[in-house]
Amino acid sequence: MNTILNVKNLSVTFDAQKVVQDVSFALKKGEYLALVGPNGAGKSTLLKTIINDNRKFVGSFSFCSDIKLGYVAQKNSDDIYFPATVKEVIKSGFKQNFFSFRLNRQEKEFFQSVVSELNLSSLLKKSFYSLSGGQKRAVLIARALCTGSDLLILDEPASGLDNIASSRLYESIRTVKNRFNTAIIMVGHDINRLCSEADLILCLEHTVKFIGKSTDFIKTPIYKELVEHLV
Amino acid sequence: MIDSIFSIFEYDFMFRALVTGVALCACASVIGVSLVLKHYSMMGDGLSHVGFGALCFSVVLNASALYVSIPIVLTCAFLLLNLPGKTKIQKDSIIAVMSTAALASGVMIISVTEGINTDICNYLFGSILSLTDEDMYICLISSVLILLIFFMFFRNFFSVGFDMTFAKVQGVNVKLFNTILALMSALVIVLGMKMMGALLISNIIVVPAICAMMIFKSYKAVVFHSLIASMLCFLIGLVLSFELSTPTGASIVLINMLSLLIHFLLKLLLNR
Repeated sequence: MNTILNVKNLSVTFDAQKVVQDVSFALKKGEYLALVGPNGAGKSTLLKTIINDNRKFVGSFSFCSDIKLGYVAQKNSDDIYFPATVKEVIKSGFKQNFFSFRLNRQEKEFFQSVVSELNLSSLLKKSFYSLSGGQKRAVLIARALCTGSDLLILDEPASGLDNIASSRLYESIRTVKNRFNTAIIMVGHDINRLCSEADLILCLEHTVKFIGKSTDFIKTPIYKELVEHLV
Repeated sequence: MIDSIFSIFEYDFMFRALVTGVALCACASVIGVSLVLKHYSMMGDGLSHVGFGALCFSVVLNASALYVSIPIVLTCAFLLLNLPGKTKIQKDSIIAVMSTAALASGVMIISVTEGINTDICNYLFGSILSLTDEDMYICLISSVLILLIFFMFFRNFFSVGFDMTFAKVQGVNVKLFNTILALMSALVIVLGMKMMGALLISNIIVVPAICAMMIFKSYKAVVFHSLIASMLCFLIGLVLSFELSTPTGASIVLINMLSLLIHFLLKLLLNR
């Protein structure tokens, strides 16, 4: 059994409103699940509940034992006064050991492989806050990978990016999945792109409207509705 | 000239001030980096007012100022770091309320009991002459402990400061680190009140961090530069205050302000 996440009848209430109702799904190792739906459908709430950032829920979710999670939030802090180089941000993904200023040999090798796969080598000494939106997201994905994550949870990573930056980001995510066999749950609005990249689609509008293969999703009326609203 | 500078530390009170001050500035500067980055720059000021209130209370009880102040300031530091998350009140509002209430309570306690005396004045503005051997040893041991904890969990402090949500997902006990930061801040404030004064102590916490952040873009460089700048400014301030017979706390603060100006000019130069 290689199921790494099992969600059963999960309901989340926020400000006396049921934002997420009765959601169930299972995710296997290395699978890519795209979470789609209109704004306010409860997608981010669902993710935040899974990463334990929101405790008021009914139902259950469970991970396989010893799972490592990587998370990239929808909105990065806009604090321009936090001094951090790209290298420091990515390194902070590794497990914290006492007096850990340097990476050990294994960590260094993994760091190098992540940095080169995501084309971040030339940015390591730059200030994180001097980067473009797309570059920042790539750095945060690299950081999430350095946790050794079995499951990468990405909350609208392409939000606010132009088409080129967005395209590069999707390529990076595909690279990560193929190279590191990391399972991915990603919230996004680029329905067509997600349908071509993801293994599974979960369409959420407070409740589950569709869950299944992306090849089946594109035949449904919900897909047509979502795509129409994008045009 | 260097000989004459070293010779001033042959006086017992100057030696005590040197050891206490260097130790205090070292840990104040590293804590200051975390506080400034979390937008808690005014926390030092707020806690020092709480410390003053606690001190007045200890004078009335005829108890040791340190042993009464530490638990009170620790509790307030813990509340300051956790209340904004649990209530909808902003952190600067909580600091304003807490510090003014503590100051007023202290003034009220003193006015209806003892009246303002030398001890109270020394704690408000600092006095290196009032430092005892006990103060020096307590400060030294506490500072070594604070620095050990900070550097032992260096990457954790970075993680929690940079992205709390990610740190939580990673399994870092964010609440614990916030608590540790609160405790360390409170300890530095209480220990530093006697030498620097309750009204001035927050300067050595905040200014070195701001100076370092003007020039350096890496967290590690900011922390180490803040540490060095803080200790250097303290030494210069202490020596100058002896030579010119000026109040030590105020002299150190003004040297820190000069350092801030120099860093600002350096930043302008580097940006050209």
